[in-house]
Amino acid sequence: MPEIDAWLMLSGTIFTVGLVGVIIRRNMITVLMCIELMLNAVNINLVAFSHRLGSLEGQVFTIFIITVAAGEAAVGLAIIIQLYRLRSSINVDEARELNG
Amino acid sequence: MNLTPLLEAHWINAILPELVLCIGGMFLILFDAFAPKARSLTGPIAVVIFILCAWSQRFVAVGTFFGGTYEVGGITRVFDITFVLAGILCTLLSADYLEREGITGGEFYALLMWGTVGMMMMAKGLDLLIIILGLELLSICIFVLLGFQRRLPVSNEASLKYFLMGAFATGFILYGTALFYGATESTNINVMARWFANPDVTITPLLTVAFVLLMAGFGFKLALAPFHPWAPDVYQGAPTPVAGWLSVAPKAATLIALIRIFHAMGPVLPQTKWMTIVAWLAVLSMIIGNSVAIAQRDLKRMLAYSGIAQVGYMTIAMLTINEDAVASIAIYTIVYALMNLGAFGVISMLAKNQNDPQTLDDIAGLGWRRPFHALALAVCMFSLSGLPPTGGFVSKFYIFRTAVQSGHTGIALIGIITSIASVYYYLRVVYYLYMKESAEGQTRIDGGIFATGALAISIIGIFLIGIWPTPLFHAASYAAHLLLAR
Amino acid sequence: MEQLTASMPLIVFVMIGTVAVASSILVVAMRNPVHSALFLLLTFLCVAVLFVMQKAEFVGAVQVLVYAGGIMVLFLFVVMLINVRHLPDERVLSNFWKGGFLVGLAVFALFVTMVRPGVYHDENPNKSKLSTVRDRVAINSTKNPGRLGHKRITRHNVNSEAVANALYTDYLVPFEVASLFLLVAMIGAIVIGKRELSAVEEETAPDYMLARVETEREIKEAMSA
Repeated sequence: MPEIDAWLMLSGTIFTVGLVGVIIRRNMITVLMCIELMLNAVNINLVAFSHRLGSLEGQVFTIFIITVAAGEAAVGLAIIIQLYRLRSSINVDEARELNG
Repeated sequence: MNLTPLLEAHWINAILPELVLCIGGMFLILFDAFAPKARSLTGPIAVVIFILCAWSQRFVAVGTFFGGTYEVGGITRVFDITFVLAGILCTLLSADYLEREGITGGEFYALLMWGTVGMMMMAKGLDLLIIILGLELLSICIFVLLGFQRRLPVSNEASLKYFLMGAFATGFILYGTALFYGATESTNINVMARWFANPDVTITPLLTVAFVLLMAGFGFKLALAPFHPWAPDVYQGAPTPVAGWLSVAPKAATLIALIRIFHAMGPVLPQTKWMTIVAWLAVLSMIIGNSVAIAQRDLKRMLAYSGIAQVGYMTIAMLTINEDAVASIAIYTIVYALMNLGAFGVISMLAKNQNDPQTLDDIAGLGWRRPFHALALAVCMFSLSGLPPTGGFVSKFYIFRTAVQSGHTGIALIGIITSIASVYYYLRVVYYLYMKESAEGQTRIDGGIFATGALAISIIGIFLIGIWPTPLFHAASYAAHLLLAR
Repeated sequence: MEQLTASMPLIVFVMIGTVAVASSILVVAMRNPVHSALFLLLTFLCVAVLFVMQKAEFVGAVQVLVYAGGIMVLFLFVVMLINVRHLPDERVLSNFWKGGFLVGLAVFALFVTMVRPGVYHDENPNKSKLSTVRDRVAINSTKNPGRLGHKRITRHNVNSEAVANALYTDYLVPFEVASLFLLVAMIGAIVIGKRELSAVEEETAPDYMLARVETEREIKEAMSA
């Protein structure tokens, strides 16, 4: 079985990819997908620790994170649909009515 | 096999305020759906439900519940009162605001209530899981409340920006939590505290990374300085009463959660540089917030930057967690709720297209046209700048005194200097109110009975705490003593 | 052959991990959101395999059902609904993509520091039994007898049973908060995403809906008057 370091590295890599994706992409739907990637990296970490420590809390935590991700995705997609109705575009930087 | 859930005696009393708000929110939605003709009543009913929730605090049982994951004590009661106060003020302001904007919605008040439930969970959770779930419940309510004016592009944009920022910050907080779990073997704050109290604990880089990620996430949520850029945009685009509520209540909830976490880490903090990170966040917030606020002409953006600075002051007290620090943060959040919601309340009454910014010119000469509303705004500004007879002075004094007593004199000095500089932009508002001639085509102030009532509550509260702070301070100190005595 | 069996988990980990990282990079790199969504699905499935490897079978199943089954369908549904024309010359990167790469590099460096070899290694071999913490259970330690303290409750059951046990006993409050969270998410998505009926739909919409729209219009007019 690979050591905990390997799991940490794997989840760190996926987290970083998601993080970079959130910042650099313009398409809102892709940005939302990158946020899901970040949450998945957290889940890998939690399950790996849960296995290593022999404690169940990590797995329970993971289930709640999956729930949170589902709810967040639903509301986020609703916001995106409303953005599309108002501006006929789903790019992040189209929304620039507010100076800043 | 024992399958009984961990239900101690009086468990229902422990979650009574939350239950009242949950059921109240569901009732409001059903009321809105089945009695569409009586919709103008939803606002008053919402206020009644909030007052019921405050009243139910009398029956709350004190202690640890649900297998040590949930703690009710004096300090949670103080913070619950802050959340309910913010909820009531926001409801009163929204009742008139929504009617003027032509928005109907029992959902609005219901979401406000459920957001308050999330904050109460954050204040009472002894398990990081409950704190994070409360935070998420709160965040999702805020996303929807910000985008409530669906036809306004700015409202949608505020919602979008807060959503992106919030989801991003949640990722950081969760990753930090996962690493803490891996290092301390539990997500329960009491167990973590025991782990940190072990004298031969070594601080691995893993823990430091976990702390950095956690602080980055909470820094986003609190709008601390390097993580603040979302705040002005979101406040400007949001429905004004929601902006006021957002600038107050979620910050209070995040602070009490952080107090619990920092207290658990207490034993290892001297041998790490973690608090230096927090100190830098506080200093940057105070400097950036106050200096950028001077350049703002849009009132909501100015209040956003002032809010960044105010969180900076509160963070100073967090550098050393002791009874005075917790008590002064509790008092500061109450006063901040009164004064900031009062200021946003007056802005919410400016009857103009909500897609346009509300600038200083809109309130020019207001003092002679609407004396009461101008007085309310002026009092809030005096209090925000921390001038003596107001509550703002008392709370700021406690904060800086606590900081000096714990040996953070340099940072307290920066805070005092920046807060003296901040007097300029707060009093500029008062200058516009009374010294400027009102221009042609003046913006109307359109305040109904509810909003005026909310302003009256904040003025009375600000002066009451400013002139007679002793009872509140004693209550907060005692509550803080109980929290830290464990 | 024996050697191969012994190192099998490592081989699976390396293979699945590589696929997961590669497909997550492709999620970010793909121009078309539909392609991104499909690679995201692949990442989710790989992560589910990794969960099963860690003896978290129930979480793996939930990952497949909720993530790959539910959330992915939601994503694809919205992509289809919005139906953005795929413009070949449209910019993919936002204005601050350089800053994005810098932040990513910084965070990755942070992660590398924490797994430096020897700093954090697996000194604690896997226990075969799972446990959760319960608070305020009387522990009879020799040092301070009779004090209330924390005790680990060991769970001997198979994975899904153990998780269910913990979920409905120790984690009752989070469970209820999560249910409220899902209710709020549903109502919130409806509040933000709903729209007014258009002229075409008014012909096909059921009567009660039209009546409701009519009432709303009356109220709005009464308010504006």
